[in-house]
Amino acid sequence: MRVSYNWLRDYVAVDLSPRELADRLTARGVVVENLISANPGVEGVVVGKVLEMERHPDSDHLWVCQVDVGGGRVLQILTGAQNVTVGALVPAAVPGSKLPGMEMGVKKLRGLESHGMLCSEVELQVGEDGDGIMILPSDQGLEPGMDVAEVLGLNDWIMELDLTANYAAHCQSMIGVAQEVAAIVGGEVALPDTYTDDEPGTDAHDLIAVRIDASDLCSRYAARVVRGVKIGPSPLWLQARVRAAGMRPINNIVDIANFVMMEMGQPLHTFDYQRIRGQQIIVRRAGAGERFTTLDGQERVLDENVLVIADGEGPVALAGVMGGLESEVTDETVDILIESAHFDNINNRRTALRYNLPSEAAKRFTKGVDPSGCILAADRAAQLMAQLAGGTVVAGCVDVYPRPAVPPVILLRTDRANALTGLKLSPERMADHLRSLGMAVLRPADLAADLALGAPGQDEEAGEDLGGRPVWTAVHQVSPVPADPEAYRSWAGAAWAALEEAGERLEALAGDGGDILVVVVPTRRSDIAIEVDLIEEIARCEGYDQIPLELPTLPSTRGGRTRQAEAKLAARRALAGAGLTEVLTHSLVHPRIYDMLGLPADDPHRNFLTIANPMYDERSTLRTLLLPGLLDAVKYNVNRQIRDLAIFEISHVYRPIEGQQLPDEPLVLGLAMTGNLAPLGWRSPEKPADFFALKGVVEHLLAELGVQGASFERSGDPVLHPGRQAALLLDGKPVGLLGELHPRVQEAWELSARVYVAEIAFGPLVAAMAPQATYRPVPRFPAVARDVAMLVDLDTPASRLEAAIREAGGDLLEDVRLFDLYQGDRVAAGKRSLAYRLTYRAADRTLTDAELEPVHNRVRAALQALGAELRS
Amino acid sequence: MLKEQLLRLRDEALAAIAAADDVGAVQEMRVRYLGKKSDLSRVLGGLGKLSSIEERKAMGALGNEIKQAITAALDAREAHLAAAELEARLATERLDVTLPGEPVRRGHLHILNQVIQRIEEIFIAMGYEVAESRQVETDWYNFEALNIPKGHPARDAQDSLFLTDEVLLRTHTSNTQIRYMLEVAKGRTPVKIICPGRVFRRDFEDATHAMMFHQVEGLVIDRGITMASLKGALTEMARGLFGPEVGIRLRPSYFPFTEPSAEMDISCIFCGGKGCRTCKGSGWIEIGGSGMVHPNVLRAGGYDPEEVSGWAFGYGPERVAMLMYGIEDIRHFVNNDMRFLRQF
Repeated sequence: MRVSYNWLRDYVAVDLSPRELADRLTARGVVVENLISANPGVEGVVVGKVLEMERHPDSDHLWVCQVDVGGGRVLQILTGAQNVTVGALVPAAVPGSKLPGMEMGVKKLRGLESHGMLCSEVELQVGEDGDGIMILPSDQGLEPGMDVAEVLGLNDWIMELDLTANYAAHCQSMIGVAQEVAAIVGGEVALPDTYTDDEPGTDAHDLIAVRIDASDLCSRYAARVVRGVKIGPSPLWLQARVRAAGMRPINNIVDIANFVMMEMGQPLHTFDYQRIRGQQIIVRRAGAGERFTTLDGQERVLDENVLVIADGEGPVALAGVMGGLESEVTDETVDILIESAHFDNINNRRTALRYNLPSEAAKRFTKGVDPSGCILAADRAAQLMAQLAGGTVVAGCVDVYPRPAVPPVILLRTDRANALTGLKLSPERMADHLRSLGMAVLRPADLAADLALGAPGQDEEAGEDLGGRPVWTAVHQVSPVPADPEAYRSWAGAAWAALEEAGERLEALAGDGGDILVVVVPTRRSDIAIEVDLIEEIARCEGYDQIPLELPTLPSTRGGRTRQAEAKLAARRALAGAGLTEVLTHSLVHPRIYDMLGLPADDPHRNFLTIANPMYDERSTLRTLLLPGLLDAVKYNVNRQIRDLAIFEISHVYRPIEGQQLPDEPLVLGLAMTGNLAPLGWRSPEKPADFFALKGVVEHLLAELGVQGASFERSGDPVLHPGRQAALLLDGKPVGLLGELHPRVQEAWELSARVYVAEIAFGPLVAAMAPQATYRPVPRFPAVARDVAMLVDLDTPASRLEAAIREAGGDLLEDVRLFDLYQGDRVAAGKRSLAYRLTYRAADRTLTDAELEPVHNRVRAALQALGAELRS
Repeated sequence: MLKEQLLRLRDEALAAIAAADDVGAVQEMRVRYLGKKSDLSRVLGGLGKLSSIEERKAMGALGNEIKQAITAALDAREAHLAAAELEARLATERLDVTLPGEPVRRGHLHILNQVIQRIEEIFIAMGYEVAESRQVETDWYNFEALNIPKGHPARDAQDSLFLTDEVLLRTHTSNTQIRYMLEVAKGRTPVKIICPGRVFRRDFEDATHAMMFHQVEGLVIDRGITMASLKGALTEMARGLFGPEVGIRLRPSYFPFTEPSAEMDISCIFCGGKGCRTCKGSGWIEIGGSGMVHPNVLRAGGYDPEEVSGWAFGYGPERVAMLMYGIEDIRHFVNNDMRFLRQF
């Protein structure tokens, strides 16, 4: 929404500068995103009257004009445009004046002096016509010497509003914004006069019949007829208003419709009355397959989701979205049918989106329009058509209003307002704020008085004899009331019901003690329905800066993280401490990753969730594994010459559960390592990523978390190298995999170096964490170390050797460490050499050789039983 | 006669000690001049043969004096030589200390998680629980329960990624509010939670827009909760994150799930509020949204808005990180470029 500062002042007196006003509006929640000058840089350009013209003697296209620029000055100005005539009023950029990006002087053109230049719309940046000079109207009191910037309305400021959904409805009109401004400055809004001299003898009801078949999508349809208009350009002031609103002046009728829409927020549509067949308007859903050509020349295929305005024979408009080619107002149009209606915002938005027809009108219906304003807007348009297009307004306004909007009556508990906001305002202060926004504020006694008098008689004329009912009177005053007798009756019924309901709520609150205000809200504030809505209005009128700042005096509670969140934090710290870098990969992936991993067709990880409306194919499904994202991260870096990587992530994957609406979202830990793990240094050996480096990290993590009952076992996952992978088990149950990436998968990611990866379910790790470390007294007696070196078959797993050692060593064996491993030329084929250091200790005495020897011999015997050939 | 012999022994020993040039030689001399078989011991051993008691006494005293002198000389010489040897060894052990140390592989926590963690810590210190919930969510938890019925314009502003008509990727962390109220708190007060997490929008990706990003949301419910304590908590948070001199302001705004609603700004951390390019001259930087929990949301969470009130706020840790470090492109957070991640 663009709001012209000058235009705003047609409705409310403002002393504030545009900047001050913008700041004050923003502070109230009506956010002025940009404050821009309406003048693109036109300065000192004046209205000139062409007195004489003659051809330039040395040019076939230049004219030499003598131009009266006011103050008795006549200047010789040359122009190449061909549309200038003697007597025409034109913008003259005289020497010393400025146009956007240039300053005028005296210039010689083929030997003759030109004192400045005559300007086109493009040069003034007020329009798109750059071929000819802008000819100013001769019938609007313009005199030579007048400031063109003033004449064209350029000396103005435009406030561009960024409206939130709640203010969008009532602030999408000049009068709506004026109401906010009035509340700021403490003024009143002056509504425009809409009086017309109606054409006697006829009535609109005789010329047009209106029927609403789809009242769920159209709550009101009003029509007025203006006859005998002459289509032509709008006067300059109207053009300036239309331009200020960010639209292009078209002709007087279109400009008036747009002007009224901007002024009142009510979108209007104008039909060529003569082309409405059968003198009737039917608001209905389109039939399936019904065809209709919109005024942009496009044929549209409709269905029952589309609301159309039809005449006696077929659609003439997509309701609230776009008119039809057949009934469009053209230069030949003489009689106008003005439509001022209220359409359902959701349906309207869908239709505008579906046919890709965004418009100012559709935008307004989408955000919500006040149905009470229909008649006023139709009247205003009719008045302007009479004034500016020479038309005659036909008396009467057809008003079909099946679902009348009535002003809500809301009870406000003033102590509750203070309790929620932390303000300490008196009821009077609150009432003042609400009144400043056009609401009526009364007391419970007033409501009781209304209700005591009972419902007003059905025959009462609109607005007459409100019977001394104070709230009922207010309900009639805050918003326009329908004049049509039938429309009034249905309106009054609904309005009285709202009032009675408020009465019931009041009774329910009796005994609450505090002060209660009875607030009647204008229908244009469709965002206000309940008490807290009023509390927000009060708070923003008072100013959020007035709310005291209360440093936390909240009830004290024991905060913290869940066990899983704590464990995640500990795991992340442990991994970063071990030199890994945490990455953050995307939850949304392309499903091709499962083929790249070479998963079999029935692999459960291929059971993923698909986005129904994806933005990109790359982000079209939810991952079931972390690994592909980690490999993407590896590839991204390797492609940028960063080949030494150790990364991890702990994040969610998404796994559908059969028969359930929502998937499982388990936390998973992923690791990936490649290249050299030791940073380059002048004396450190390289430490290439390999299986054992990876396993070491996993073991470190398990130790840091205090995970109990973990073991590793050879596994057979298709993603990993068949001989270099292991499952991590917790109490015998597999919870993860680690290993070298299968060369085919490595190839699929176009990686040239081997990659070592792990993917481990995080929940089971957390479940297996010891609640705290187990303390054993610090040993008081010395330990004895014994080394055992042996040759064993290659296929005897180290885990079996170690288990045998531990079993045979019993309680005295404190620690077992493999400290040497060799396989190669120096040992027999099919064998390898291992050396273990065993630490023995007794808690309560110094071990003697005599005591130790039988134990150690048992260990040796156990190893020999496994086929080990002991070498020491 | 005897006296001269002793003095000669002394002079000879002292001269030899002074000439010793390593600790080993000194130790040999200790044996040679003071040991049982030394000349001195031999001479002193013969004193008993002297007839004159007086002479015996005098020679004995002289002998002891000489012994002490030699011992002192030996000790001094040995200490001197030991010090010199140590010095010489240390001189040979000199290093080029300007060579770099052995590098330790340094890991890094993701900067965004660091920021989220920092926010969590600030609130944990004020007694908040960290609560997380699901990312694939039903329409009810993501919209309906948060006072965003079908057809509400707020649904447009948050273009969603749907799996089915009823299931979508959450567009904000606010679903955690409802799940916490219904599944954890179950009507208990007070509720004080901070909810970090991933959220998703259907959006074109550019320097300031991502389809996947994060939010941190706070929720407090109790009897008599007011906007004043919302201001207080937000001030604490802003100061914890950006420093003690930072202030906040609330501006009226609109969110379906709060009423009254407020946009929260912090005083510009770059210019201190004087106005600069980052804050577009206003002196304030928009951080996120907040407000008093809408009665419909309290009801959806099983609380009676007549009994309790509450406030909530939410904002993007990406934005906080971008402000804190001057990061220019939101895509850095998921690109996983080591040249980015290793800076933090």
